[in-house]
Amino acid sequence: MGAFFAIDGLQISFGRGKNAFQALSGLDLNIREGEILSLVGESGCGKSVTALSILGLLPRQGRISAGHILLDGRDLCAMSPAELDQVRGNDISMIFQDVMGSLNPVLTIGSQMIEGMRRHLGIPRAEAWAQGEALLSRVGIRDAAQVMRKYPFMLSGGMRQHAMIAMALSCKPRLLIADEPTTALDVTIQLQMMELLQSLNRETGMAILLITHDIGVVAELADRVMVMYAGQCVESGSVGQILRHPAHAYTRALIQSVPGIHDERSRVLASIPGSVPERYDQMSGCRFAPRCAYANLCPQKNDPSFRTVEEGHVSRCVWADARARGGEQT
Amino acid sequence: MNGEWMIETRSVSKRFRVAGGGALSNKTFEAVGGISLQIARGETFGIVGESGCGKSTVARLIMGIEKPTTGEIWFNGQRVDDMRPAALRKLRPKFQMVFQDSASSLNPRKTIMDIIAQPMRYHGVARGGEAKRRVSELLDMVGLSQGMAQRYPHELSGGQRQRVCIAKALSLEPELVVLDEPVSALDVSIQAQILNLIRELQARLNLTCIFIGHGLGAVHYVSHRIAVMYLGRIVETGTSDQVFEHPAHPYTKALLDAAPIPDDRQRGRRRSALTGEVSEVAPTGACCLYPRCPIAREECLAFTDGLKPLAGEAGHCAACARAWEER
Repeated sequence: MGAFFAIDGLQISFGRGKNAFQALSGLDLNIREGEILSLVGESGCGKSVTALSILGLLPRQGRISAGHILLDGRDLCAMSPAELDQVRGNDISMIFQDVMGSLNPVLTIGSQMIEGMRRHLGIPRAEAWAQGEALLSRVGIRDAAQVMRKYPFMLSGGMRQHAMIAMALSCKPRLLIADEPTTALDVTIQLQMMELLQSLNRETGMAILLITHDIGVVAELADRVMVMYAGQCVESGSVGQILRHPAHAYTRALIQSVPGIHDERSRVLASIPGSVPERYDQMSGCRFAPRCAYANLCPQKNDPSFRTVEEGHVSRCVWADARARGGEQT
Repeated sequence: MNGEWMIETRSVSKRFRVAGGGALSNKTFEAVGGISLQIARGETFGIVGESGCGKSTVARLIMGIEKPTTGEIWFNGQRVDDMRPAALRKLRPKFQMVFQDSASSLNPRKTIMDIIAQPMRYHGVARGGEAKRRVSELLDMVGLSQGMAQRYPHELSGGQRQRVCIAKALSLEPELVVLDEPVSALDVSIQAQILNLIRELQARLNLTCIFIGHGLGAVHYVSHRIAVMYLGRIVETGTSDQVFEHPAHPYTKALLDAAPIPDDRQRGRRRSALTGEVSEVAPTGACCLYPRCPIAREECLAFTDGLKPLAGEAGHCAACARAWEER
């Protein structure tokens, strides 16, 4: 199936004039029907601004300075607010990490639930209410009828999260943007959440843009992965290619810096020295070089253009060339 | 009396008054229920569990920030839970704590130099040039450059601030350091830096540490021994490898199985899962996991035995009758 959603050369800047900061420096991505694409990276890499820009939710200081966001070939960046309203919550909806902040505390779950359906689908109140109840049951909430009449504060954290997903699903979106959907959750609740997203994706064919910093969540859910660092995508490929045969020094370091529960305790974690440079938009050459263990030996740190590793797998790192030539990585 | 333990809690419970019950309400909530644990000098003891399981309350009880409702806490063969504030203050330099939120545990109006030197000044350990020399030593120890001393907390990154918190905790040369979720707010690559720092300092200074976390990998990585908590009780304890490689309690198994594994080939693996939510409270007298346990049976409704050693595994204990049979 072809891509129905694409981002083309997207640049996002904050502030103006001398102090303008380019948070995202030219991102390309595309999502096919029914696919789970994961943007993975650490805070400040540009993954959340990407998500916010899709739905026109950038904070006031931020703006899209170049590029296009295309849904079925229509550019969301060029749409009027009224047109964008038709897309938001309808074709594309979003769930956030901060659940309490994204639910209205003075409205019942039910009245928040039917809002989108009444607005976008024009369904009468009673029918929307019944559908809302069915959706709550679908996401695994018991006694949905009662929960519909409750206020957000009356629910547990896990229930709120599930209710938020049910709301995001109410207009049967084709794309769900999930921004750190499991980050604040305990592991057993996180598992329920991952299983829910997976089954929704399988049953409804809804595509998911999964934004996370957790390599483990990526491994459990994603079909394809884009690794972000300092406002750029540095490597992209299928989940197997990225996790098992990473071809970027940053991706490798990121994977190796996660302590596994079945690791030998004697293993020393590979940590990445330093932190993400503050004005990364003014760097030339490879943005990871200041923290890269191989930078001294790297012949290509001044030319971080994408190189093809194999079909569907590209990387901005010299490792890509080594892998493409068939050389075994060390 | 066993003299080799540095910290010992004996059937420690803590009940909190439930807020909103009205001024005359006696409604209480048991955050910690009858915990007995022993921590030896020079080891890192990990406590894992999900939010609300009481792991932070245990830390606060050991630190003397909260007083236990029942039970006793012993530190170096001395009972500390009933000490007067003045006596406790004298003991304070010996145990220090590092919190999750480094931003709010550092005074925003003081320089890093003052922040790290303050405990030494307060306890009269060092002043003036001596304190400065000691701060520069500590900065070195936690991997911060000397230039940091003149900066303010907001000028530092999260990882650097957590290093300052560790330096401050170490400034009085404590015997015990309690780390409550020290890496949970940090990025993955920075987490690894701090975990390595904690492990290295623990070994170099022969510190005794209590490491509290909900990230299972991190707790496994730094801890020699581990206790798994659920609803205010320890359900399993043993060496890090015993608990992670041969979990005995159904809760531990479910917790480990729920953790995502960074390998896409392991997707769809069989997992032992719990039903329902943490909020489901077991009937009185029953095992705390009873309403959610996949292997619960009728006997579990009357379970008062608590932790018991598992056959053939020294130091590995679980609070589950079925686990005792299986081994």
